[in-house]
Amino acid sequence: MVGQVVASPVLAASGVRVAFAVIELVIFASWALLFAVLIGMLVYLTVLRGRRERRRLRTPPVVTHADPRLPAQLGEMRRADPHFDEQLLRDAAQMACLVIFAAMATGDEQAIRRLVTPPFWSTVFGRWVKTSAHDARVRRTRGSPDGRAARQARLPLDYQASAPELIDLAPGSPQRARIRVSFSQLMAMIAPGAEGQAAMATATSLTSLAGSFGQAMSQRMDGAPAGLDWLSWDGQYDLAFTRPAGSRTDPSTALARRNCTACGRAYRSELATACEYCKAERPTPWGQWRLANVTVVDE
Amino acid sequence: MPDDGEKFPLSERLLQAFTALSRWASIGGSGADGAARRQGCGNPLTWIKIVVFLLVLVLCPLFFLPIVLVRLAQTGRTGFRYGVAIRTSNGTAARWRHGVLPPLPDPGELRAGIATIAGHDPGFRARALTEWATEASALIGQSLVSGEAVLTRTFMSNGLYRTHQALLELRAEADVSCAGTWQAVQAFVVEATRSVLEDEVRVRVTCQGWCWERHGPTGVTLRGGPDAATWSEDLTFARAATAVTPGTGGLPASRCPSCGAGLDLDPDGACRYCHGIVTAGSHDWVLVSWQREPW
Repeated sequence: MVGQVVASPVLAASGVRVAFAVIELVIFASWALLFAVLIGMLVYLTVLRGRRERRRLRTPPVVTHADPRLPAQLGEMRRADPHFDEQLLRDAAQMACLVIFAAMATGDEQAIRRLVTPPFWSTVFGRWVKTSAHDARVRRTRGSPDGRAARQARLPLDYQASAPELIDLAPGSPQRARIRVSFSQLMAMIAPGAEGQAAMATATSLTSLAGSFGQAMSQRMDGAPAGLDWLSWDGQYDLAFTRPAGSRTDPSTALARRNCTACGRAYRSELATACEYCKAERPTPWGQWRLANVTVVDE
Repeated sequence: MPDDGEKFPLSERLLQAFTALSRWASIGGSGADGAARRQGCGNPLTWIKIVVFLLVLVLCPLFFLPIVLVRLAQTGRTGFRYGVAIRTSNGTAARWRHGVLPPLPDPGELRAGIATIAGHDPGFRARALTEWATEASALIGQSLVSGEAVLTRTFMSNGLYRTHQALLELRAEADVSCAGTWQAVQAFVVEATRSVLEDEVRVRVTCQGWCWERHGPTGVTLRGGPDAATWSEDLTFARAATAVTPGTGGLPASRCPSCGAGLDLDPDGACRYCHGIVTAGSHDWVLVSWQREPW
């Protein structure tokens, strides 16, 4: 009886030690695994990017043409929707690309939210846009209160796009259209260690990744003055638009209106999604067409 | 917490809650009286903050690892392929690769393209488009310097006009300014195509002058400078394949292609007389793309 009373605290203490040891082990293992996964992803991405760059230099760009059935598809669409205008879809594609650029530069997702379908955010491209916009918001939030915004700015500098091209059209349920567009965007980065940061974001080999990381860190730790660098992103993309079956184009909304149709006052900005006075939602000139997915053409 | 209805992931909500708790624990930091004295090691809330911070720091992999693994399983190889397919560059490569103009096609193709368009539309004159491109290039320049998109309303398609306007707004918001003067010294058609849907003509304009982009708050030069330079711009005009040159000359002659009246558009791009949407490309040529080579 006495032995049991003495042994219980010892057992309990031993049990607690074992429990702590297990927790320590789990925490250590999770740290190690997290580092391994993140570094592995970074290495894989960098190596893959380098391989792709080398392949791009070796092979000429892929040239594809519109679906040969397009005139027939257009005829079918126009029979179902007499006011259908493919130019509105091209306009939508141009605007969608610019709005993606704006979201990534400023972090403001409002404009793109009303152009896309909810499933867009589950696509790979949608997730990427959301993450980039979130990063931009974090940069702005961190930068503004103490006046350091100018030291860490990413400035939207330029955006150029080719003429969008209608590739195919499916007047089914839902209706689908695919628009091809090439565009290039340029941002300037003003920050201490800007060169290193920009190089890290675009590294194509492990050596360049390690070098740029070291450069960015040393410049930051040395308190180097804000430097300037540029980041560009370009490519050719297919934008898939959808709208519900039976939808029809309303010719009265085909204009990009500068004034609110409810109260008549001017919209604050081209990217404004609602009237800032009466809060009425701004109609889109392309009706119910919404961006459902973006795919890279040379994939 | 944001009140705009945006749904943040759980990880971000936790971080926001932790930030809010930290701020609450350090309330009074800016006060001039006793409130300021509540900060530091004497404040029990500071200790709670430190313990919570250390716990979060130590335990964060347990939280983030499943998220990373689930995300990795969801996107898989596709995510990586997309990640590398998006072509990004930095430094001078980014600076000088952005806006590189497409190569010139074979002159034979150009002649054939012009002949095909002229076959469908006997009133088509390539020269009218090159002259119009020169004017358009000058107006785009003025628009960039002044930050006013409305100067380009009469020749840009609705989609291009909206993106141009939005870009000018983004640049103004970021305090990016543009100064300079330049003029077109040469313009020639470099590509002409006709498809079942549309006609397209690309005009290359050579410009001379100076252009200087700077960041207002820091005064940093972003591109260009006050020195004279020469660069080219590609202006692509398009119209519906069914459209033909109006008898009045249409938009290049500053006439409404729909009713023939003198060109007077409202801010939405419709003719003030006939209310036709003349910048949609269904009646006449409109500018659908403007690209400037690195300068």
